[in-house]
Amino acid sequence: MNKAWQDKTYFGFWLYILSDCLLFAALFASYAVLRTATAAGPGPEELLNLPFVFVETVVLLASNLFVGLALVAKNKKSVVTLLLAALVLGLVFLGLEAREFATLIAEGHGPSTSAFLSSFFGLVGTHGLHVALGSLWMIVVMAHVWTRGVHESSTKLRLLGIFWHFLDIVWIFIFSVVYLLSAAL
Amino acid sequence: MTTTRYITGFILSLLVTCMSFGLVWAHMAKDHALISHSLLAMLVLALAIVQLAVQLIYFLHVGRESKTRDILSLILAGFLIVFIVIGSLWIMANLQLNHGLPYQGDITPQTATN
Repeated sequence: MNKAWQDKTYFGFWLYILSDCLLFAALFASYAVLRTATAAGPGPEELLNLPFVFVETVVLLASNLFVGLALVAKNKKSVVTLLLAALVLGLVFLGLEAREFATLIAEGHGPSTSAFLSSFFGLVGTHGLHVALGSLWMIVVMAHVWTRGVHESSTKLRLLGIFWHFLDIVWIFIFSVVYLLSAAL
Repeated sequence: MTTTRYITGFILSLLVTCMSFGLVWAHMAKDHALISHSLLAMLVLALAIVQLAVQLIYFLHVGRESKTRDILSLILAGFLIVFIVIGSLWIMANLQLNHGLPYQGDITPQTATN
């Protein structure tokens, strides 16, 4: 792939990321509006477990670091190892989130209980879906690096990196707005 | 060199996360009386924006070497996000306010005069 083509690919992907940001902006807006609409049920301050989510955040931040390091690693073996570490941490994050969701639903606080919970599951679930699809993509890129080499996969690696960093940024806002502020205010 | 850049970014983002978590935790431990709620909201949001800057600079390498079109589209997206979020909150708060107020106009059904 020549330079001009690569530039176009990055820009196109960048535009996709920015439009995905708008999707999350709409979900954030609906959460912010519906946060108090708990249908007389328990609100965020009673349902959300902050230390648990803090651990989730640290796991995702560490996963983000490994993806970054994989982008600058020189040889095939270290790239795949670093991506594997990032993937494992991403899956741990998903596991923790699934546990949180399962606990909420088991205690009778599923997405259909109130408008607040609908918007909560909608926003956090959409992010989780992105992480799940990103993990799948990461496996594909790892296979590509392993069979074709680092140089041949450089564009794919960089796009995956942008996607993963973007998910981290979205999570920071979920952590701050949905968890920290909802619990504290 | 780039490796140290990623590690610096990671440490900074971890630091900011710990700060906002610690702030909220301390606030809740003091029975929500550490600082006023609006100040807390502003501080947590400010820390989230610092974190956003750290991530953009250290991980996504947004900076002087970025292409103008990348920066411009980022700024446009930023504006749209602010419009969507602030606009929704504004309109919905207004609607709620109107619900609470008694209707000011004449509510008796008008019969046609001609």
